[in-house]
Amino acid sequence: MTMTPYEVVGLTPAEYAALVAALGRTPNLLELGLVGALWSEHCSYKSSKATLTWLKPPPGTVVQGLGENAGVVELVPGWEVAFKVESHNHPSYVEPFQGAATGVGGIIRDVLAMGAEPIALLDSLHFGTGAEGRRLLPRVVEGIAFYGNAVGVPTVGGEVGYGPEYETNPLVNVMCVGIRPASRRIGAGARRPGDRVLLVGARTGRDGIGGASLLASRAFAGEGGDDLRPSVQVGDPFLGKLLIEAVLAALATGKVTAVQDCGAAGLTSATAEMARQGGTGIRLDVDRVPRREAGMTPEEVMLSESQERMLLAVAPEDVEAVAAAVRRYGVEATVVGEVTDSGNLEVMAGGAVVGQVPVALLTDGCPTRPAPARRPGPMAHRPWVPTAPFDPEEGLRVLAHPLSRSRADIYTQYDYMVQTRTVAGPGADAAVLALREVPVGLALTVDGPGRWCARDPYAGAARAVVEAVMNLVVSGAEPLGLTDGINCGSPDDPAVFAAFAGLVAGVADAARALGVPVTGGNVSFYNQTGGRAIWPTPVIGAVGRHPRPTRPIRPGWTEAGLVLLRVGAPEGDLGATAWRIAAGDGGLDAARAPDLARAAAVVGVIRDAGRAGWVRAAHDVADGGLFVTLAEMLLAARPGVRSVAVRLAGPARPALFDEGPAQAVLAVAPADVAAVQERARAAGVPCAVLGQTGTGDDGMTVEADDGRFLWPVDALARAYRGDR
Amino acid sequence: MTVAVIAFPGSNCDRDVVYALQSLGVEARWMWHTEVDLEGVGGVVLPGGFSYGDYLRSGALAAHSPAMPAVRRFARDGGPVLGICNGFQILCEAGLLPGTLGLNVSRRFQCSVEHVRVAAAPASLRLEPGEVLTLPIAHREGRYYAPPDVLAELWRHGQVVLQYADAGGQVDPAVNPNGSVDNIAGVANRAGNVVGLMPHPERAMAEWFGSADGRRFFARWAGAGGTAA
Repeated sequence: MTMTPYEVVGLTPAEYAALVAALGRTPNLLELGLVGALWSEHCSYKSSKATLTWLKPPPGTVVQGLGENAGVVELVPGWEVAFKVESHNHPSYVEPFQGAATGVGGIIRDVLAMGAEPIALLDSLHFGTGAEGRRLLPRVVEGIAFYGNAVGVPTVGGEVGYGPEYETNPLVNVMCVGIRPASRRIGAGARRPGDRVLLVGARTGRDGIGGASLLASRAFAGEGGDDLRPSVQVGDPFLGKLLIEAVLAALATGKVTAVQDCGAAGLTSATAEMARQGGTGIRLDVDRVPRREAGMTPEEVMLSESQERMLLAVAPEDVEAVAAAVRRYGVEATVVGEVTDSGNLEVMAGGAVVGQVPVALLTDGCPTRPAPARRPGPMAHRPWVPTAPFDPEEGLRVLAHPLSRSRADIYTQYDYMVQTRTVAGPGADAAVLALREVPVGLALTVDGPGRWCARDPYAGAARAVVEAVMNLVVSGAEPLGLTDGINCGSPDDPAVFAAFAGLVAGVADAARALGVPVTGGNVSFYNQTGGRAIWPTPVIGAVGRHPRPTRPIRPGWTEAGLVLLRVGAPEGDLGATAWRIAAGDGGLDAARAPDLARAAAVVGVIRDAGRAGWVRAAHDVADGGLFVTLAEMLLAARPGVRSVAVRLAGPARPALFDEGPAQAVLAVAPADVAAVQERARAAGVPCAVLGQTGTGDDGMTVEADDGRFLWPVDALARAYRGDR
Repeated sequence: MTVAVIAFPGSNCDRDVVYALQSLGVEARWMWHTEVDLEGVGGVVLPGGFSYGDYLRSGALAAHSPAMPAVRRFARDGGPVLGICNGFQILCEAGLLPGTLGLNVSRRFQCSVEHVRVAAAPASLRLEPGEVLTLPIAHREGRYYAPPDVLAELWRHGQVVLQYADAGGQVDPAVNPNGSVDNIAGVANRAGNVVGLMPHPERAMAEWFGSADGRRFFARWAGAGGTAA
C-alpha cells in the first residue's frame, strides 16, 4: 500500500482536509512538506496546547511566559534570567551520543535567542534498569560531556532516575539558564518589514531532515530505530561555542531586531516563528542558503535540522556591521531573506516563488486536541505501610540503590566549574552560582521523579514541584520561576492523555499554591516503544535568587552540638518510594498527593529561617527519605563531627523512608532552636527536634520505638558509593 | 604588569583567566588569536578550553594559529608564558614545552579538585618547593608523557614543576587523576619562562570556589601578584 503525499509528511486525513480548506487550494509538495513539519506534534503542540493554558502564570509575575524560546523572570531590577528545559528523548535512544549532544546545543541556543548569555546547564536523565539502560547511560553522559564541556557552559546540576519503563525510552531533558541585562531584551519577533534575515553559523546539510516530524512525533514500532538514524542531527560544540560568541557580539552592536534558533524543522520553523511573533511575513531564498552538500532540494533546505544555525533580523543598512561582528569569530553570516508585511512564508528558488503559505496557518492552523473537560485532581489514595520488623540493612540497601546513591561517577565527567561562578555544584540540593554582574546569585535545580507519577500523575507532578522549590529554599534561595518538561507516551492513547493532563494540573496547582510562576516548558509525547509507554514524567526546572551566593546553606554541618530540626512531618507512607523499589519485589504503589497549603507553609518557614541566618546546614527529604537525607548530611559533614544521634517517635521504617515532600532537616545552633520552632508554630508547621550532631566520626544512631540502630560512617560511605 | 590572555577559537577559560588576574589588580588584556599584539605586554597566558574543538589532537591546530609566531618570539626573548590545560597542550604541540598530553587512563573527562605538590620553582613561578596547592582539574587529555631520557633531563634541570599528591603532599600514584608519568601536573622549559599545567588556578580564587590557592599561584607567576599573598 502506498502512502498519500500528505501521509508521507505525517498529516492525518482530517488535518489535510483542514489545510486544503484554509489554503483554498491544494498545496504543492514543498508546501505540504512545510506544513507537515510544523503541524507535527513536536512543533505544533497540537495535543498539548489547550491543556497547557492551565499553567499560565498570574499577570505581572514573569518577564516572558509561555510561547517564546525560553521563559524569563526578573533577578533584580535591570537583570533577568532566561531558562528552559527541553527534551531530546527520541534522538538519544536512536543515537545516544549525538542525540544527547545536540540536545545540549539546542537548548543553549534557545536561551541565547532571548539575548541571554548561557551560564549553566542541568540535566534530568531517566534510564531503564536492564541491558539497554546500561548501554545508553554512559553514551548519553558522554554526549552531554562532549558538547557541554567544549561549549564552555558548566553542567552544574542534574538528576538521574531509573525505572523499567524507560528501558527503550530513555529521557534526556536538558535545562539551560542564561542572564541578560534588561537592556538586551530581545526575542523571535521580526516586527519590521524590510529587515534582512541573516543566517549565521553552520552550513546546511541533509542531516536531521524530518527529525521533528518523523522522529519526535511518533512512537517507535519495536526494537532499535536503526532506520531512523539518518534523522538524528549531528552536533559540533566547537562551532556551537563560536556561534554563542558571534551572536553575543552581534547583539552587542545593538542593531539586531530579532533572534531565533534553527531547531526542529530548521529554517521553516525558525522563519515562521519570527514572522508569527512579529506579526509579519518572511521571504526566504533557498538559493542563498550556504550548503554543505550539493543538489539539495528547496524542501531539504527548508527542513534540514543541521545544528549550530541561528537567524537574525537586521535593518538593511546594519547588515554589514552585524555580519562583521559575527565573522570576527570565523562564523559565516549570509542574508537569506527579508521580513515582509505579507503575513506569508514565501520560499524562493531559481528566482521564483516555489511555495507560499500563510504564517498563521503554519503556526496555528493545525487542528488541536481540546483540553479534558474536567481538570484532574489527585486520585483516591491508599497508603502503603509494610509491617515486617525493621532491619537496619534496609537503610544501606536504599542508600546504595541507584535511586539514592552518589552520582559523582556521572557528574565528574562534566565541567561544572567553567565560567567560575559555581559555588555549589552537582550533588548539592540546588546548584548555587555567584554572578559578577550583580550582588545576588542564582540557585538552580531540576527534578523529574517519574516513579511518583506512575500511578497518580497529578500527585507525583505536584510533589515534583514541591521538591524543586524545597531544593531552592534549603540552599537559602528564594524561588523565582519554574519551567517544566512533560514526558509521556502517545497522546492518542486515552490513558496516556489523561496522565498528561494529570501532570499539567499537578504542576499548575502546586506552582500556584507555592506562588512560583511557570514560565514555559516543553512537551515530549510518543515516548513509547512497542506499545509500552514510559512513566508519565514531569521534569521541573526551578530558578531562585540567592541573597548570599558565596555562602549558600549546604547539607554538611561543620560543628558538633547543632540541633537537627525536621520541618514538616512524614506520614509513614512508603508507596512509590526508593525503599519500595529497593525492596525488589517489583511493586510500586502510588505516591500520595501533597497537602499544598502545608507545603507552602513549610517552604515559607525554611525560607525565613535561612534568611534570618539560623540555618547552619540543611537538606530536604527526597529520594530514600529521611534516612538518605541524614546519611548525605553526615557524609558531607566535616571529618571529626560525623556523628549524629536521632530519636524518632514511632517505629523506625515509616519515619526513615517516607518520601513525602515538604520535609527538610535543618541543623541549627541551640540558641536558635526556639526561634525556628516559633516561626514554624506560627505557620502551623510541625518542627520536631530530631537529635544532635556530635564529636567523633561515630556515624548515625537512630532510636525508635522498635529499637536502637547504628550505621557507622564507613558502611554509609560504602553504600553511598554503590559498593556494598 | 600587563598580561595578554589569548583566546583561540574554542578556548573557554579565557575570560575566567582575565577575571582572575583582574581580581588581583593585574591588567589583563583579552586578545583574539588573530589580533595579538604583545607590545608592552609582560606575560602571556594561553587559557584552557577546546581550541579548534580538539580536532586532530588537543592543541595541535592552535599551535599553528596566527597568534603563535608572536608567542614564540615572546618566549624566545625570555617573556613569561603560562599555558593552562588546553594552553599546556598547545605549548607542547608548539614545541615550546617538552613532552605530550594523552588521553586520561580512565578514557574519560574528569572534573574534580586535586592537590598538587610543587616539585621545583622555575624562574617565572616562584612557589616554594614542597608546598601543596589545592587546584581543580577538568580535562580528558591530561596524561603527561615524556620519554625516559627527556624525563630524566626534566628532573635534572628542575623542569618538573607540579605533581599530583595527596593533601599532605605525598606523591602517590593512587591520587594521580589521569595516569601522567611521575604524577606530573605541570612542567617548565629549560629557561623556566614557559610553564604549562593541567590544573586551573583561575578556578581557585576564593574560599567559595573550594580553594583560594589560585591567588597564590598567580601572585607568584611572573610577579603578576598585585595585592595577593
